[in-house]
This record gives sequence, structure tokens and C-alpha cells, in this order.
Amino acid sequence: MSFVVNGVTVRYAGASSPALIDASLEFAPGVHTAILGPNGAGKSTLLRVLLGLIRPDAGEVRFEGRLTSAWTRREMARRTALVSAGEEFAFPVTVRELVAMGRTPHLGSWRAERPLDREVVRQALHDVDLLDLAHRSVSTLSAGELQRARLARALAQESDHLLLDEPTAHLDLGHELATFERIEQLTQGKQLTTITVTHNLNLASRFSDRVVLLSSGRVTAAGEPRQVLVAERIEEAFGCPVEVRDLAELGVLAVPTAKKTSE
Amino acid sequence: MRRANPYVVLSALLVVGCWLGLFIGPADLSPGDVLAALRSGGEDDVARRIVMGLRLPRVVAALFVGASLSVSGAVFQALLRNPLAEPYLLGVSSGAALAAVGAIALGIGAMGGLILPLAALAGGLAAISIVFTVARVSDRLDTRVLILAGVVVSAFFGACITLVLVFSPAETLRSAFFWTLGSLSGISWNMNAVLIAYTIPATVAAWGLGRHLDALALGEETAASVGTEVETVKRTAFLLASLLAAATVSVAGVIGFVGLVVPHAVRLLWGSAHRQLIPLTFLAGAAALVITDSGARALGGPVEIPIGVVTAFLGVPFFLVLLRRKGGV
Repeated sequence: MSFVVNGVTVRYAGASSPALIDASLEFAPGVHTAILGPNGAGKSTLLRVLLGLIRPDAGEVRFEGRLTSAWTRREMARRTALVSAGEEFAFPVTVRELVAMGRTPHLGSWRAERPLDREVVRQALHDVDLLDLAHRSVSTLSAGELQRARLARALAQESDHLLLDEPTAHLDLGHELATFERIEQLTQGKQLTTITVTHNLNLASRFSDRVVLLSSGRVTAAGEPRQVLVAERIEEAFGCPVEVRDLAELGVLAVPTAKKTSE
Repeated sequence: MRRANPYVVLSALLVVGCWLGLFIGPADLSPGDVLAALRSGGEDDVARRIVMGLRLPRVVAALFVGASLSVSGAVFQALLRNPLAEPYLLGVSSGAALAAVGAIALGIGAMGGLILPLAALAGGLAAISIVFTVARVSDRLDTRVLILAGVVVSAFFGACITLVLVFSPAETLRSAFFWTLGSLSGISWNMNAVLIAYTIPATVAAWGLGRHLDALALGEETAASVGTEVETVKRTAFLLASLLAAATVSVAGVIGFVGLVVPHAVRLLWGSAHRQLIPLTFLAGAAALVITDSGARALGGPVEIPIGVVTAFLGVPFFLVLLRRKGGV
């Protein structure tokens, strides 16, 4: 197993209820898992627990059989890459500089970039079609271009696990689809284990092998997309009535219907 | 157009600045006299005493104070993710100033030697220890708390300085006032040795943090995800930047503006990747202060204009022009 989560509870200081409650999950190598659930369900927290960025208050998380707390950040960054939801740039950086940061775990503190590193960065930029913008400042990019640049940084880490936190936030329909298609194409070619937090149930059901549904910090379902994404589970998790349609190869479509008003 | 290599440009500026620094001064020495003084072995004449005893140590001090302040500013700006950060933000200067003013008021500052610099160094280090302790919550260094704690500690020490000065005689007031304005005069070779002993290793260490500072500029989570040990890097960066600032304050007092503007100017001209920014900032800060100090001596005549005033007069217009041309920090 890539990641094994066993009875994990996370409580943020000052929060009234835990962000994650007694979560137990396994993530197999080479599988694309989507993590779904309403705002505040604990999706991002789960992602951070997997990467060892947050220490659980109870339970344990193992990566490749070893407790995540026993991995150094550098070892971890060679095996896992994170595309997080939002970053603010304290100072202007170019697209190439941003992507080259993905080489940090391979270079450490002192080593200068080698030809190999430059080639990996170039390939990552090529993979997301950003070679032409390599020397532009990231502040001049559109939301979609920026997201691709951050995906390229993760690819430059050459890790075999890719974790994405809402990779399609702020993207329109077309860019959203392009992002999922790109991730699928890149990860299948490289046999990556992928875990994606997303709000798009439809694209999640279409592009992932497995979905995990979270609600109020608890794992309420995990399994194949069509087994998990049924009306009653979605209604329970998101607190709104939905109509679910199976669109065959286009995945499962869940459309919210009118909010029931109590008589 | 191929752009000139920044290392070459800045090194050339630094060399020019050093020559200016050696030639400019109240005593009328020809370039030949200066060269002869630099080359002469044991001959002890007036020119040699002026060049080797006054001008060269001053040029060396300006070089390393300028370099240290600028590297310190660059590291603080990255650590605090704040373009307004500068070496004195977190209380180093006010702690050092309080200790120095206290030493002057008690009369032990006048005893000379390394007493005043060492008192100032101790004061600066005491201030950063307080700030560091306050901002360290359950093994994490919270950079927002760091800024607030620094500003508050600064204000407190500032109040203490005022209190000491109110009860001081006029003569103490004057020397304390000049100390807080910063000055590069009267820096001995011993003080220079202390300064260099801090500056060189701290700058090399800051350069080693460069890649991690790049990552930290994108936020702690991103930094951790690309393999940066965030807390270790933050603690090290804080320590290095504070030591650099404390070392400069202890020998030269408070010289404003260099540590804020030089890192920004280098970023605007040559980008923000810290592995390049740190060494370039070192050279640029050194050149800036050496040239500024030479200019101050050339203009001032018998009255010494405080170096901090000159750095502001020269630095502000330069920086404003750069900002407008490049559009934003």
C-alpha cells in the first residue's frame, strides 16, 4: 500500500469539532482516487495528513509501510508531490523558477542545477504546454496557466505520488476538463498514484478509479465511483437533494434539485 | 541586447567605490601618495597613517556593514514574506541602541576599545532572544507573531532609551544621539575583524538557504511539499539575519534604508531567486555603502553628515525611479 491511514483524528487548536474523525483508509499504488465532500468535510486535512504536513492527534499514517513522521521532508518530496489549492507569491518569480523549485528535493541546499535538472524542468514545462511562457512572471499568468505551472512544478519533483488539492478551483468548464484530461494522460503514462481533492463529482467519477466521500470529518463511503455516488449518499453528505444520472463513459452526473422546505 | 553579467557590474562598482573611499578625505593626498602608502611596508609617515589607519578601515567597515545589512534585509523579507521587512524590524537595533546608550550614560562607553560594540551586540542579541521566545509557539515559529513581537519590543526599548536620555546630561545626549544615527567613523581593525567574522560565514550560510527561501516565499506548506524542513529553515534564517544586523549595529550604529532598498533593487533588476539574490545583494550592499560613504565625506567637509541621511537621500530617488520603471515590487 502507498498510504495507510489508521483511525486518524485531527483536531485544530480552537476548533469546536475535529476536522477528521477516526478515519481509516488505504491507497493502493497506481490508483487514481478522488476525495469528495462538502466544504469543511476534512478533504484537505486528509491530504495534509497523508503527506505528513499535519500530525494526527490520534491514530497513525504510514507511507510505504513507514510512519509519515519518520520520513524527512526531503525523502518525502522525492516520492510525493503536492499541488495545493492556492499560493500567494511574496515576490515575483518566473514560471521557470517556479517549476525549478520542484528540483529542491533532488538538489538539497548546496548543489547547483545540473543539465539533468534543467532537462527535467524543460520536460515538465513541455508536458503542460508552458515552454513558451517559461520566462514570464507568474503574476502575468491566467488562472489556468498558473495551475498548469504548479502542476509542472509537481512533475519536476519526479515523484511517483501526485496529490492535488482542488486543481480546478477558479477554472471554467473547458479548463476544468482539460486539467483532468491532462492529469489522466500524465499519470497513466508514468504509473503515478494520484489523489485528487475536488468538488466536481462528475469529472471525479469519470476520471478516477476510486472515490472517497467525506462528511463532517468522517469517511462515509469509499469505493468505485458508481457505487459511492448514489443519490442518498450525496444528499446525506452535501445536505441537498440531488438527481443522479449515469452518463455511461461520461461518468455520473449529480444535479442539485430544489431545496426541500419543511411544511 | 545581451545584458551585462550582474556579478561583473557590481564588482566593478565596488572596486570603484573602494578607490573613491581611499582617495577622498580632508587630507589632500594624491593617488600616488595613496598607492605608496598602501604598498609601503614599515615606513610610518603621515600618508600611511591616514590611509592605513583611517581610510582603509573605514572602507572595509562600509563594505561589510553594507553587505551585512543588505543580506540581512533580503533574508528577513523572504522569511517574513513581507517586502517592508528590514534588518531593524525585529528589535535588533533598539536592543543594541539601548545597551549602547546605557553604556554611554553610565560612563563605561567612554572607556573605549571594544566595550561599546560588545555592549551593543549583547543588547541586540538580548532583543532577538526575547522576540524569538515570544514567537515560538509549540515548537513552531509564527512569522506573523514574529513581526508583531519585534515591533512591540522595539517600541519598548525605544521608550527605555528616551527615559535614559531624559535623565542624561547634554554631553551624553549628544554622543548617544550620534550613535543612534549610525556612523562609520572610528571603526578600528579589531571591530572590523569582529564584523567580518560574522558576515562571511553568515552570508555563506544564507546562500545555502537560498533554495529553501525561494520555496518559503510561496508559503510554508508548499515549501514543506518540495522538501524544505520549514521550521529549521525559519529558525536558521532568523538567527542569521539577526546576527548580521546585530554585528553591524554594534560597530556602526543604526544605518537605515540600505537593508530595505538594496534587496529590492537587486530583485527588480535581476530576479528573486535567492541563490543568486544573496551573493548579488552582498555585492550591491557593499558597493552602495562604500560609494555613499565616500560621497558623504566628499560633500560634508568639516561636518560629518550622518551616513543614514545620505543613504536615504541617494537611495530614495534611485529606488523610486526603479519602481516606476519596473512597475511594482
